[in-house]
Amino acid sequence: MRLLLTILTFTSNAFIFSQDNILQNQAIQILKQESPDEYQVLAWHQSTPTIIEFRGNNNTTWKTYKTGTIYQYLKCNHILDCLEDLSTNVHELNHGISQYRAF
Amino acid sequence: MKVSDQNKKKLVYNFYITPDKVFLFNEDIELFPSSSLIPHIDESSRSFRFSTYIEGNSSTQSDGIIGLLDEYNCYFHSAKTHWELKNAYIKNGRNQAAGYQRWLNTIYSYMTSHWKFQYFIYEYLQLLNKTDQVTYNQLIMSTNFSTIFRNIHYEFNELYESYERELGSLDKTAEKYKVSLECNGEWCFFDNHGIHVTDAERDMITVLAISPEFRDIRKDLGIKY
Repeated sequence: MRLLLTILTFTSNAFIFSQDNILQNQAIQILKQESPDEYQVLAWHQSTPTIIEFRGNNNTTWKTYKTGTIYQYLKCNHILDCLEDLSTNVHELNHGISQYRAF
Repeated sequence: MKVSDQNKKKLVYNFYITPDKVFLFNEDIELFPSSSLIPHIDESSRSFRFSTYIEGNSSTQSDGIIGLLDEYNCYFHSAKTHWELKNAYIKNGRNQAAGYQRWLNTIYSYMTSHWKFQYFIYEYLQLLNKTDQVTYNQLIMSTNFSTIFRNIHYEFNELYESYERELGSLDKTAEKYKVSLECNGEWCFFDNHGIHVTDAERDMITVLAISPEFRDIRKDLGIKY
């Protein structure tokens, strides 16, 4: 079955950092500076539509949802803990990239 | 055993490895769950990552080896993220030596994943080759699975070799920061704080991943050793 796919609807998040996550944002800025290739994973997650709906050529409609935010795995109260959490963050968000960037 | 087309499932994955290495896996294929590997996994390798990815309920069950490949790639990204944050750890530590010690100790389990997922993937391919040669040949010959695996492996291996060089120069780093260093088996104590350098399971998994048992699998994948 060939599916190629029409994006029917999407909503998009602007890449705006939350003001409630000062340490987390600091860690993300460090990532951007020190590891731009890995920061790209977070940037893609931010720019991916929240809902992607598409139709296969047998008229089946599929819908996929982006889950979580770029802060989801950054549960930290010290900058070193935030840096440590960045590895988990990139790992988990990259799973999402594996799925919805395929479409 | 030939797999009928009815049992095939569409698997679509986007593999981001580096900005110039992005691959799409898009195939109709039937793959067994990773739990089928349980009887085949060496007893010595059943702790680290085993319960989550071989026994657990994740994409490694629903998507078999493609789920394992995705995990291998995501652990590469964990390791690379951590590796590239070295300067930030040193800058933000209690002092430079403490930041360095925390950085190098924390990366240990990510680096072990390089060997663990190679081993899981080789075991999976070995079993697939024995039980369903049609699907094995489809995966190896007609899809870009081997290309994706080879590229993740190459990038992770480069990182692992850098890690080994870092461990090999710990004495010089201790000198640079003017701190003590004492190494004793699995641990080095850098300014009296531990850096995990190896353990029995990592030693075993490294041996398993490069063992002659998987020579033909590695050859099919284009991996040299």
